[in-house]
Amino acid sequence: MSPELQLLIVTVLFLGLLMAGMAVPFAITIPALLYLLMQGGVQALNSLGLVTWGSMNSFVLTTVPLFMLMAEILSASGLSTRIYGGLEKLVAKLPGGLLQTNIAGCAIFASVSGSSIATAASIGGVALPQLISRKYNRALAAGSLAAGGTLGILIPPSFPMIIYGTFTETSVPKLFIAGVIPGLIMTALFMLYVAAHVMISPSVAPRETGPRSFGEFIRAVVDVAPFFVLILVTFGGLYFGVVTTTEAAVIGCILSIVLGVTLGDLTLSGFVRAMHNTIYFSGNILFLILAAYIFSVALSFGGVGEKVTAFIVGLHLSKFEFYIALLILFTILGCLIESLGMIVITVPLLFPVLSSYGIDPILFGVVLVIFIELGQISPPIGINLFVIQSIWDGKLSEVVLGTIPFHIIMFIVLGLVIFWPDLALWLPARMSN
Amino acid sequence: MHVASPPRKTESLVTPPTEHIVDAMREERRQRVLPEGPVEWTCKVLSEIALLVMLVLIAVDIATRWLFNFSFEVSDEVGGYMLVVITFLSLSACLANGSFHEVEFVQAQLAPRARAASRLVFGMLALAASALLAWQFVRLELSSWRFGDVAPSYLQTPLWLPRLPMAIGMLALCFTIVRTLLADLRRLRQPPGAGGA
Repeated sequence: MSPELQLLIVTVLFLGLLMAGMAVPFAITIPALLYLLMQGGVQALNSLGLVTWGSMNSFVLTTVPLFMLMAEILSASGLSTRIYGGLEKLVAKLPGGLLQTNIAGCAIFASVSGSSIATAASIGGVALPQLISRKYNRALAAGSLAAGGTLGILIPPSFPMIIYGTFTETSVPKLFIAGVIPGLIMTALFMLYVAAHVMISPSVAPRETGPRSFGEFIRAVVDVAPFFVLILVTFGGLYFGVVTTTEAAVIGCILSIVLGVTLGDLTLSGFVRAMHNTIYFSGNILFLILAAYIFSVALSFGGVGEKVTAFIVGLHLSKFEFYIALLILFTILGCLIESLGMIVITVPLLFPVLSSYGIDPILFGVVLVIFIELGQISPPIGINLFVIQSIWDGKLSEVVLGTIPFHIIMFIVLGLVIFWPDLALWLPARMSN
Repeated sequence: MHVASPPRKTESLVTPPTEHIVDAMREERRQRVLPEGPVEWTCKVLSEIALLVMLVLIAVDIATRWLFNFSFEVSDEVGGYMLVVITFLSLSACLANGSFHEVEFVQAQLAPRARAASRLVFGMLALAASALLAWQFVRLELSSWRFGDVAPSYLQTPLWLPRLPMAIGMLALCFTIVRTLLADLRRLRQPPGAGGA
């Protein structure tokens, strides 16, 4: 069998299994093992034990369960719920009322959660009942939450960035800090859009009142403050080089427990529940990473990576054309493959090409995350669409419709980051080592 | 019991899924969850203990470094080992809980029996892949034991010990896949309309 035919069979099998609904890590592992067997027989599998050990015995990856635990503890202690109540008083006076609270709430929750699903689910779960009872425009309400949830992976911590950094040996703290300015720009543009939309059609959102007394204002600040303390201690420490990413995650966990017990309702059973959820979520992500390493072994064994790199370089695309090609690729993939799967499949193939286009690996990490954000609100499989839809039992078409303007804003931010790379690279360049 | 509406054969992949498909996806997700048996429960608890050990060890290291300018110099090494424990021992619990990401769009459009049949095929493929990996991990474990491999670190850990969860976790995953296969078989044997499938 010719190498091209082998590759074709494996690619078709991979896409077939994925689309047919097999669990993503298995859909990656099975074709990879088959390709190894085709290339070198049973002998080709002999390196798998050591490769797996070398890949998963990783101190950097400890951040995945630790950041997950931090977010789960905050949810279990009810602090995630209270942040929405606090922000409601602080920002709801802006045009758009609770819709602005959605975006600001997602941005702040994103700073303690590395997952867009967790962000959309946590804020959406609190926000949607209030949005519906106060007669907000349903599409805009759902769209703001689905899109706001995607901020979870651009604003640090971010699981896609941890995975990208692990695979490409790019500094995870620098990737985290690189996402801050684009994340804040995206948040500001989301809020600006909501304000403009409400000013043009005031019927989409009722007018809200701010805090009615100084006491209420203080209570609102107290509800929001724990998150700012967490952000300041963990990411402040990271930026100034006082702690490593893993240490930031550990400090975040301990601080969450302290805040949860003192200011929230964290109980032992809540903590145990947080541990269970952490294991379920992290196990999924870590298996995906394991599958991706096996996939990488298969690619290297067959020399596929080199061939793909040679092919792309041989196309003699300009940097701009390369980005357009990426846009097309990720738009298609975003409609077919779940977000983390998208990273682990494409990064081993695309990363070697970056140097020939002079693209900074940290910049590419940020661009990749924005592409993934787009995929998360793209039908038919955009996960955030389903998260929001499953919370409110409304129509999925309304959620999809509501996200369209946010899609456009994400494209704008993507363009800004590509044309002004300093938006992503300025802060990391000033980090202490 | 809720049974998904008849599937639409001509649904385009780029069309937003309709509401009945979302319902079917939920039903499908609910059905995938297996009751947690002793193997999955033990694996989950051991993973949680590993997470706690990781958390405490790194926290203690940070505290002693800041307060006494002293490090045990083991947190990196043991932290990595604990991650190996979490990665592999969580697999069977995650599978039983239906935690693995899936593209559910096509599945949700299938008739219940076709869905159960496809799950059976997926299960057999997953079992084959997991068994291959388990075989390789057991080989690595035996060779680590036989050759007395030791980590080139401060602790000089005998490597068979932290590598053991790789083999155990993958074997536990194989066990849970067999459980899901049996559950899928039962669903497939149920007469149409009996619910559950």
